[in-house]
Amino acid sequence: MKKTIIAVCALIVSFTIAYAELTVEQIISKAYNLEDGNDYTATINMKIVRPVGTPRERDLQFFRKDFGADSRSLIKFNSPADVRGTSFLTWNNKNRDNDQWLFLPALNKVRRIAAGSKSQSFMGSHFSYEDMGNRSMSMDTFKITGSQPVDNSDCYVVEALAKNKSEKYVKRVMSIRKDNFIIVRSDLFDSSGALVKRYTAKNIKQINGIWTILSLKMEDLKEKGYSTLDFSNIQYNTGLSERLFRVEALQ
Amino acid sequence: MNSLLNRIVDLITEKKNYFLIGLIVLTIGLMAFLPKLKIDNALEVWFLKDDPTLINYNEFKKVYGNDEIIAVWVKPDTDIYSKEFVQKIYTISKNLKQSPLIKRVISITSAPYMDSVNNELKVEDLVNTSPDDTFKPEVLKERLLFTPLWKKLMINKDGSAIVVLVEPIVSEDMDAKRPEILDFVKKTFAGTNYKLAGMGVVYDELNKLSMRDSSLFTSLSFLLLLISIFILFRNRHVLFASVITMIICTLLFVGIFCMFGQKFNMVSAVLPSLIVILCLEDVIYIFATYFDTKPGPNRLKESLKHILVPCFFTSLTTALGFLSFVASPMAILKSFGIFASIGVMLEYFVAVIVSAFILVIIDKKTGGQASMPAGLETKNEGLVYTLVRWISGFTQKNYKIVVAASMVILAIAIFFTSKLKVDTYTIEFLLDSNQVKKDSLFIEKDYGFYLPIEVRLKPRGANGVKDPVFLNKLADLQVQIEKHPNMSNATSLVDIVKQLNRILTDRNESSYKNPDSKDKIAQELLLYEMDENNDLANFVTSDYSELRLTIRAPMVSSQNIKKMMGTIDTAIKNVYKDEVEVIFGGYIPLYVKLIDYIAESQISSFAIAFFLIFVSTGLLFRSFYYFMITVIPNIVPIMMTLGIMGAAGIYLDIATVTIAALTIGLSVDNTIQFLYTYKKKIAEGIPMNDAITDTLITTGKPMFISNAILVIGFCVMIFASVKSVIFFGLLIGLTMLFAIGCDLFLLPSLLLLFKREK
Repeated sequence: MKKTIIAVCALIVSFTIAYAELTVEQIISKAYNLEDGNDYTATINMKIVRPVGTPRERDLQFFRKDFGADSRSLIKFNSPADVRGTSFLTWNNKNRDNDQWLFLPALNKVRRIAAGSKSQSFMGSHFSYEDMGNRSMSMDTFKITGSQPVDNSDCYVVEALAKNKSEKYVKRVMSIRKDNFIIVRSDLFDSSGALVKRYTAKNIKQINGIWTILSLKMEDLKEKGYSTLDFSNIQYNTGLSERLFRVEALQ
Repeated sequence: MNSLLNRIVDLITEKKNYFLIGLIVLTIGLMAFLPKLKIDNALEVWFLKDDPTLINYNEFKKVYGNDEIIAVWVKPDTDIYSKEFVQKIYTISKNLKQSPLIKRVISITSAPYMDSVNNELKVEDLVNTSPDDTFKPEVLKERLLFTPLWKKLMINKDGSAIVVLVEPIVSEDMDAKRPEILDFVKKTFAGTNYKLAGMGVVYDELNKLSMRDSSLFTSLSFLLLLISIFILFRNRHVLFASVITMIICTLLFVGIFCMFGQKFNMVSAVLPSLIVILCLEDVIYIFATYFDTKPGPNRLKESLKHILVPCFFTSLTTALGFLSFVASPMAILKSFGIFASIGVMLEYFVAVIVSAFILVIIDKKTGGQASMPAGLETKNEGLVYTLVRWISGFTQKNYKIVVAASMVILAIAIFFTSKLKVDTYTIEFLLDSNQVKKDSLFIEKDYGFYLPIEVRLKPRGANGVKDPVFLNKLADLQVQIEKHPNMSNATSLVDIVKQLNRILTDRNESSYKNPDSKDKIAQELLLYEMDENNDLANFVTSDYSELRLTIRAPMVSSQNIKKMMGTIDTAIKNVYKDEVEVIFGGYIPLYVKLIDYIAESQISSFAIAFFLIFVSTGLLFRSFYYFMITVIPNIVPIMMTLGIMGAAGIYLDIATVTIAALTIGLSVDNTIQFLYTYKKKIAEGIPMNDAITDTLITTGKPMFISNAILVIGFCVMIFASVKSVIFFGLLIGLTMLFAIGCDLFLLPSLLLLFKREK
């Protein structure tokens, strides 16, 4: 019994030390490289709320597949009716700008979209591609500034300062859950030091053993608008065909 | 009443030091607020915060941004596509875009250009990188001419100059930011041959001129008034009292004004001078009454007892005249009314305290035997005496003719008053020699119209904006509107959709049209939306529930703009019937709404001033007879001025709207002074004809002097740089001249015509 207690204590201590000694780079590396399966399928309800006008809603079918270090995603529009059937293919390239194509069924044409920076808006919402998990670690310097609970989960508070000071958001303060390294909140600051955007991840569950965010919100605190992404019908590792992510397959 | 008056007089004379010290301490305290002094002539300040027109304006800014566009006309030495010139514009545009003060820059280098290359939709600036040796002018020309929207907005009529459209950020305090924004724009364009135009540019100029005029007039009118007082009185005590009163009054008033966070504008800019003029009027009457009172030990108290009540009532009636503006629907007139009333009552107390202080000293020094100042002597000789005697004789002989002639004049004046036009012509506030006005008119001639009339079109039904039928009708509407001689360059989402369709199909001219299905439009727009350089937010709301139609018009008066809005509204209704909701947005509806508010303010303020002033006069004399006698000689001069405005085509505008209510408060002062003395003489048992003559002789001179001061004080404004201020000064000066004429001729004639036996 005594041995067991000692063993358990040793395990707890070593576990605690292991996590206590995590460097900020290790925390960020874990947060940026979360296990997300080889492929992923989900239905997304996107809601864009602007201070003026009625909210816009889009129902999308989302597919993602890893291609080595890169990944590719395909979004098919289910609604609104006038864009139903439109498909948006993105090749997320780790070390260069993304490649994007849009298939317009009404014109029966595939159009390439100019290579955009990763900070550009994700399909007209308040999210950017970076917010969707495409920001490279090399773009910032990091510092742990403390820890705090967010939605009853203990989190590291990490400050990321952009190396390129001409970036839209020069500072991010991220709250990263200690148990699964998911970024549950990120406050984005502009060059004047003002808090301009807030990212929040909610409803986090394990699906097929993978920690999965079911609800995302990005608030524009300046404009007073926000966008939400609600995920459902999530599946991992279903063996999506590579062909699905080819440009020719769009049409 | 008499015992109260006695107590007040005792208090003022016995505690004079405390009153004066208290006044000085208060003045010094309030001077702490002087650094807060600000000028604001923006149109928004005319409206109350909850005014629907202002709410609509702010909503427009929230949705589409600032419509206060700065149009910068730039002419190169060579060709507009030359590398050197394009390089300059590229740098200028880049610098402008980097500024936190600027939201958007449309220039031959920075406007978004869309094209389809190798099956790829490309949206980028017209000139993407700084022009170097590889720069080809013909490529830029081809790109510009390929985009009809930019071609019509950025090049002048003969293609020799360009226009850069600069959209400032939306700021809560645009008036405070505007000078900084314009200075930055001017600095950025330095070294080029440029001219600026736009409503903001005109406002900035008006603000600068108001600030300059305000300080110039205050000093100039002070100087002129002091010179006039010295010439008319030839007495150093009066001059000294005047100087001290003027200084304390000005500092005290401006201090209070600033303490309440008020800003000076083209209406309130006249307040310091106006209050000083009224203050001096009281000083003159107080001193004139003192010297007119029989010398002796009680001279000072007797004179103060005689003058404090009429002076209080003259100040009260003037204050009531101003207070009538509280009923105006315009924020600026409301605050003008409140602070002018406060100022007028304030000047009364300052004038009484300072004059009493100096008179106590004079009285003690001379034992109440001070001789009449040379200028005030009512000797039985001299020009004024002869004139007054003549007026007295003339009116007593011809009072019926005087009254009849006045009634004829009144009828003619009423006829021409009916011709008075209510309008506001902002750019016409500036003199023809003004450089901003010259540049604005030049740009209008060389480039075309740039004043944006913004229309928000809300089709009924979800996503109606993407309906091809709706967009085709809009395209037709734009063509139709552009045919109007006073409207041009109608732009909307249609220009984007047509161009998008052209480049996504075959790039041919024939494809520059709206797609034929809602799905095609929606999908093409979705594609465009995906590009971060798209400028859809400037044309349509994010939910596609409404779009913005911009029509360029000349800088004309608000009445003419109202007519144009009517034409546009009819054209829209003809095209769409009731399929769309039409809301005029941006700054123009504010400009137009002013017409209604000016007319409403004129009627309400004049009616209220009329009622309050004459009721208070009736209360002073406690007689309906005197109430009626007071009304007529004060209505005639105002109607004469309004008639002259109607005949001469001077607009009743945001500057001249205050004249009627203001002058009625001023002109009634002399009537009160006259009737107060006349009634006293009648009460002393002096026969009516002699009482009129005596009143004219004793009050005639101070009436002349106080009126001359008013006329001089207001006529100084002819040196103003803002036309409306010149008219304002001249018209009030003129009314005061008419008013003295009526008080000297018509008032005694009315007393004689409606004589009472008692």
